[in-house]
This record gives sequence, structure tokens and C-alpha cells, in this order.
Amino acid sequence: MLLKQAIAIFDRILDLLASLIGGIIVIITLAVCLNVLLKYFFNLPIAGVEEVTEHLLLFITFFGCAWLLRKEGHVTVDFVLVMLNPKSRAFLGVITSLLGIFICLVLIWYGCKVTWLNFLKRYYFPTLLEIPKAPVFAIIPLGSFLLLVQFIRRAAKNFKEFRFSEGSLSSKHGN
Amino acid sequence: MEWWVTLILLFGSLLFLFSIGMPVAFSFLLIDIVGVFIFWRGEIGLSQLILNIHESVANFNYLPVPLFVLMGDFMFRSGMASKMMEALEKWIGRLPGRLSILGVFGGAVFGALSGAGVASAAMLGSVLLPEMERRGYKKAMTLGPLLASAGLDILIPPSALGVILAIWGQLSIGKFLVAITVPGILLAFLYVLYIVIRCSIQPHLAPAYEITDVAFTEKVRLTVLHVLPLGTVFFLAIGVIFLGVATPTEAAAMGSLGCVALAVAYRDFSWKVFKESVYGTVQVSVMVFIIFAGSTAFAQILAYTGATKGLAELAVGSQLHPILVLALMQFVCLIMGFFMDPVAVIMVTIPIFMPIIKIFGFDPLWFGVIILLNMQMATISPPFGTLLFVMKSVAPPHITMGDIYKAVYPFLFLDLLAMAIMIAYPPLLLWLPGLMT
Repeated sequence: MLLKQAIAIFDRILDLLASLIGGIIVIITLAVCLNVLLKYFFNLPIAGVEEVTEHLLLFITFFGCAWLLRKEGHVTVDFVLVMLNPKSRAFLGVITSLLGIFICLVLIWYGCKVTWLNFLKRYYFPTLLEIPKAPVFAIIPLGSFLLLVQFIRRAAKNFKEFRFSEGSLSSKHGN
Repeated sequence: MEWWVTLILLFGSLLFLFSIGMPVAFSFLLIDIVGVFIFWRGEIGLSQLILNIHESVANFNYLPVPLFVLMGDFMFRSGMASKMMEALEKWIGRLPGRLSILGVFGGAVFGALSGAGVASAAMLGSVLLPEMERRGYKKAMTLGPLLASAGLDILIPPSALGVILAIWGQLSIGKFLVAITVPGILLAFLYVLYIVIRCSIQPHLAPAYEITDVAFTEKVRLTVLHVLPLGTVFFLAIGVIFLGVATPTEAAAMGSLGCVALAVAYRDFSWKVFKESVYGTVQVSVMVFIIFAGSTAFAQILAYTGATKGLAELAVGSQLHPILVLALMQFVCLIMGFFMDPVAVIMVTIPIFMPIIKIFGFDPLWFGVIILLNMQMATISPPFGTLLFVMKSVAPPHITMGDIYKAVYPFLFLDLLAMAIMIAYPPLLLWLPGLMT
């Protein structure tokens, strides 16, 4: 029961983040347009649009990643997968999810380390807005954490399919 | 470790991960983690990897990718593009194979408006195919032209894949987008020429039918109403880049805004469509940027271990004719394109091919365009080209995969012909971007 609730909340978070990212893209579009007008007509662009946008791109990437994985929307080369039966496909799904979990753990660990170091030393980007580095780098471990949870779900789902689907680990025509 | 052992290990494991269904972005990241740990002094390397990931994604110049996708997606879903096509149809008149030609126009138009060939193939297949069959067109004149024209999308700016390739090959995005226009138009021209000639020789492939005459004034009215405004937005997006008035990012943003404004003016605007387009954009953006995050470090590892340099020296030392080396590289891309998504092919090949190209003194811009042309071919190449499957899914049930394969071959040959022309005569490609300051 508790697990089901937790999953529902997690799904809600991913949906909200996707909407937020959509909103960010729209706002970036408008900001760039506004800046074009201000630049050409008044020669007075809003300072810092570029800078903020750059860091937002990192946000878009890492906070959209888990949402996209839930949709299975990441670019995948599937010419081998389509030749396999559901059981073998689920087996590979478990393997790739475990590898994904490993990647996330590394990114979380070293992401936190880098963030913490930058926080302690109060480093900031040597640009106009002097944005502190720590919160920007923190996007990587935070986003990776969401991705970790999604990879665990993916592993569990594929494991279930693997256990309950008929056949052996062979090609589509093998049984 | 010898450079070639490293190269084989890196590529071997990457391709292995791809083939077991590991998403491309995470395959890159996994190799990065292992590679960095081995070659960049362990833990220090892994902390460095985090900084690299930030740098590889946080780049203002990447913004045209989501913006062009947003623009195309919205224009496509809002229905403005199909009205434009209807207006264009009135101009074709009584040419042999007119519906096939309309397909090519449609592909070019959608290409100019959107960034996704998949959408074009689905649209052309579901709208034009039933009409063609009703008119008694044979498969060679239905499936082939529609597929080939849907593939044109990659070559006609604003092409998201074009922007990605330009970024990855460190080419000027603006110049690259202008440069791909020529092969795009050349291909469309070759397709139309082929359709007209073949239908003149074998009229039964595309039986002529009665068309109602449309008054000249009506044609002009429809054109002004439905072609001109979209044409203006297209100019906003590409023309300003060519004239050097705006950067690709600014042009893409203005183009997107222009599209929305037009939809409102046509009363085609709906929040539902707008929201769908935004979500579509989120999906493509995340998909592309997370691959950037992984592939940047991969390219750096390749360079750091001397693999890139080693391969380049091997190519130079091999005494092969430069054109032969070039053909070999294109061949590798084509074969990879049979199995892999174009984005993945570009991410894997560009970092090792570009240094070789520079050593041989070829123009990187020219080389990039040829690779993009190659990727267009890959999307319609049997047996795994993406668009072939899209076409199968929207086509009536009696059309088999075999029909689709057979119909597309002549057009692949035309693509090869275009590629040969580009390789033999580089100025054809380079004059237009050369006019830019």
C-alpha cells in the first residue's frame, strides 16, 4: 500500500517536472525573442538571458531524463531486440536497467562530491550574474536520483515479465 | 595500450551495449565512467566527468534544437501545413504522375516546416496514399516518392538533425543550415524529374485523371492566403540566418513565435495542439541533450587515448586516394545507418572522421552535408530504415514490407547520384554558404 502511494507520488513528480520543463522552453523562446527586439530596436538586451538559459538546459536534460525513461522514449538501437521473444527481451531489460542503476549511483556519488566541494569553497561562475556553482551542479545528482528510481522500477517490471513469460531465452522462432 | 586496442575496445563495448538495447545516451555514459576511471586517474577523472557533463549540455548554441522542433511540431499539428499543400496542388496542373509530384512537394514543404521525417512519412502516407490508390497509381509511384520525400525532411532547413550535426562537428550552424538547402532542392528536383520521365514512359503506373480547372485568380488567392504567410515564417527562420541578421538561436525563437502568431491569425490555434507540441519538444530535447552529455566525454576519451590521432595517421599512411578514404567513411556511416538512429551514427562517427577530413584538406562543411545526405538515405534504406516502418504502419493492409522495399530502391539510387554529384563537384554545395559573411 505504502509502496503504491510512493509510486503514485513519484509519477506525479515526473509529470510535474515534464510540465515545468515545457514551461521553461516556452519562456526561453519568449525571452530570446524579447531580447532580439530589445537588441535591434533599443540596443539594450536583457543581460544574463544566455547565462541563465545555459544552466536551464542542464536542468531540462537531467530533470526530464527519468520522465523520458518511463515513456521508454530514449534513443535505442532495437534491431536485435525485435528479433527476440518477450522473455529474452525482458531479460535484457533487466540487464540494461541494472547497468543504468550503476550509472546513476556513480553520477549521484560524484555529483554530490563536486557539488559539496563547490558549496564549501563558495565557487561561482565568473560571468556577469556570478551564479554560484553548487546549485547548478546539484542538478546532476538530483536528476540522477530520479533516474535511479525509474531504473529500479524498470528493472522490477522487466524482471516480472521475465519470470512470468513463457518460453526460453532464445529467438522468436526458437520455441 | 596500443591506440588500436583502445579504439576496438571502446567501440566494441559501445556497439555491444547498443545491441543489447541499452539506450544510446546511457551506453555512452557507462563507457565514459569506465573509460574515465581507467584513463583519467580514477576518482579525479570521475569528478571531472561531472564537470564535463555540465559543460557539454549548458551551451547556448544548442538552443536551436528544441526551438526548431517546437516550431515544426506546432506547424505540423496545427494543420497549417496541409492547407499550404492544397494550395500548391493547384499549380501542378496535368503533369504525368501529378500526385507523386505533389508528394515530393509535400515532403519538401513539411521538411521546411518540421524537424521530424517520421511525422512527414506518417502524414504523406495517410493523406496521399489512399488518394493515389483510388486514382489507380501503382506502388512504384506511390510508396517510393512518398518515402523519399519524407526523408527530404532531414536535408531541408530547419533540420534538427542538421543542427545536431553542425554542433557536433563544430561547424557554423548558420552556414550548415544554408549549405544543406542545395542538396535538398537538388534531390527534390531529381525525384520530380524521375517521376515525370518514368510516368511518361509507363503511363499505366500513374493513370491520368480529370482535374477540375482552377482559375488563375483563385490559384493566386490560395497562394497568398496559405503559402505566403508560412513562407514568410520560413524566411524569418532561415533567411535572417543567411543574411547574417540573426543567430540561429534567435532565428529559431522568432520562427516559433511567428508560427504561433500565424496559427492564431488563421484561427487554427488550440491550447491542446500547443501543449502537445510543447511535450513533443520536451521529449526530443531531453533525448538529444542527454546523448550530448554522454557522447562529449566519449569523444574526449577517444582523443585523449590517442585513438583519434592513431586512426587519422593510419588513414594518411595508408596511401589510399583521399576520395577512396572519403567513400569508405560514407560507407561505414551508411552501414551503421541501416541499424542505428541517425543521431547515434553522427555522435559515434563525427569525432573520429572530422580529424581525418581536416588532414586530407577536405572542407568540413562539405563533408558534414554529405554525411547528412547519407543519413537521409539511411532512414529509407531496407531493411531497417525508420521511415519504411512508419510507412508500413499507415499504409493499407494489403501493402507488404516487400512492396515498400521494392518501391524505394530507385529513389535510393537517385540519392546516391546526388551524393556522387556533391562529391565530384564541391562548389555546388559551398557557393551558397560562401556568400554569407
